[in-house]
Amino acid sequence: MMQPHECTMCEYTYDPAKGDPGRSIPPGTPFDSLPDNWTCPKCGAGKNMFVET
Amino acid sequence: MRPVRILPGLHWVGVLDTQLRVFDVIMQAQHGTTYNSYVVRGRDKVALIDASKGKFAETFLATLRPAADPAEIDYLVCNHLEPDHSGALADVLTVAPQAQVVVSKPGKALVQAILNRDVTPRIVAEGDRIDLGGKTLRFISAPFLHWPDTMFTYLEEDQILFSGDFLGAHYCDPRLYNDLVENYDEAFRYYFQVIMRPFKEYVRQALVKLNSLPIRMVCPVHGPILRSEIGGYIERYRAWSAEPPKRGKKRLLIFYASSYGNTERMAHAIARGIQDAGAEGPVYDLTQVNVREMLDEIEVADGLVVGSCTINGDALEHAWSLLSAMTTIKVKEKLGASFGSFGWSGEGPIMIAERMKGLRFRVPEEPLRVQIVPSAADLNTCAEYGKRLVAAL
Repeated sequence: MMQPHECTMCEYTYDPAKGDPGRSIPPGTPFDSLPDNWTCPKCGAGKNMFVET
Repeated sequence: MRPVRILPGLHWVGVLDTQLRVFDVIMQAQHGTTYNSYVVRGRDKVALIDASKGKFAETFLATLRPAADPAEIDYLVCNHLEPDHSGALADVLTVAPQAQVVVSKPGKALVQAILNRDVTPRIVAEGDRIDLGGKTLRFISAPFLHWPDTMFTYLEEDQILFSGDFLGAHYCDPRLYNDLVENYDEAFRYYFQVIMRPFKEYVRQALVKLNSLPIRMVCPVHGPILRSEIGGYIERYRAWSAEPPKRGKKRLLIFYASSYGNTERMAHAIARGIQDAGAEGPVYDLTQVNVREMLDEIEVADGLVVGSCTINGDALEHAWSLLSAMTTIKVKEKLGASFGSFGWSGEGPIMIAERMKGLRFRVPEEPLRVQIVPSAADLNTCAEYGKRLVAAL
């Protein structure tokens, strides 16, 4: 499950290979393993606003 | 109101909200507002651009009908899906079930959340066109002005820009055109400050796109239609959205609310530490400043250090007002810190720090708290705290 996910609001792409270093999410973290309260680093949208690309 | 013919094949079909005084709970609207909507009629097809607020659905449809029978509307273009323009969407679609909703890509999820039913909107992107027959709508991507979904629609043949909230104002006058209404500069400025200000970088991107676009009129969704001195309005947006010049020195602004002068003393000691570390640390008493007038200053600073004493388990409301004003500026990546003197519990600075994290400040240090009167040693700790904050920049 290393599929990138795109924010439907601002088109930011979460790439599991990179993680989210700004929020201490290490590289290799699949999208589904992000904490439930994780939000889009660009626009703040919730996880449920992301779609698999 | 009756439809207003702007040009052949283009009508205003909006709603005047003369009674409105507070918009969106948070915003003053002392001149009321309008919810502008436009009908564009080509040889073959008819488009309605933006709808209206839900509570005005009936009024809106009554204004619309003389300009276009809902049954003949082919496209319902939503430049912006905030409920003041989309609230009446369900009512419009009831009488115009054949109309295809046209939105940007982010608009798709929003339109579903507004209608709460499955809709299959047509998704348009930068440069896409819809030909109405001698009237061509071209779509211009303009995200975050001021929602993710926002876009502009440009009527090519007549050089009309349907700009959504961009270049709009809460100002209600049935004369509709900027050269006919009274001077509404203040409402225009205030609208920018509250609505567009948090998105300055997106404003700048949009202005770049408009550079190369011949514009005869700007038709926003609130307030007057611009048909004269359009450049002047755009120039003001350019000035207000400009990137502020970078200062030579790092700068942390210290704000405090103090009952007995103890939190105030801490503020000045922190400021000494900040200055000793080579940065600027001006100190402001929250009971003496108008935060709304300091937003430019806050915006260019590298961070905020907010102090409050604790009364009955909470920080003072001055601190909360300061932080609630942050919604209109970009705080992401700014440093945040909090401090305060307290009697016995001291939750205030902790709550401030949590709030700052929620606002996406970077909060590298724990809140600094002193019980009642800061001792000489405590004041040294404050100064050290100031130095550490500078080091964390």
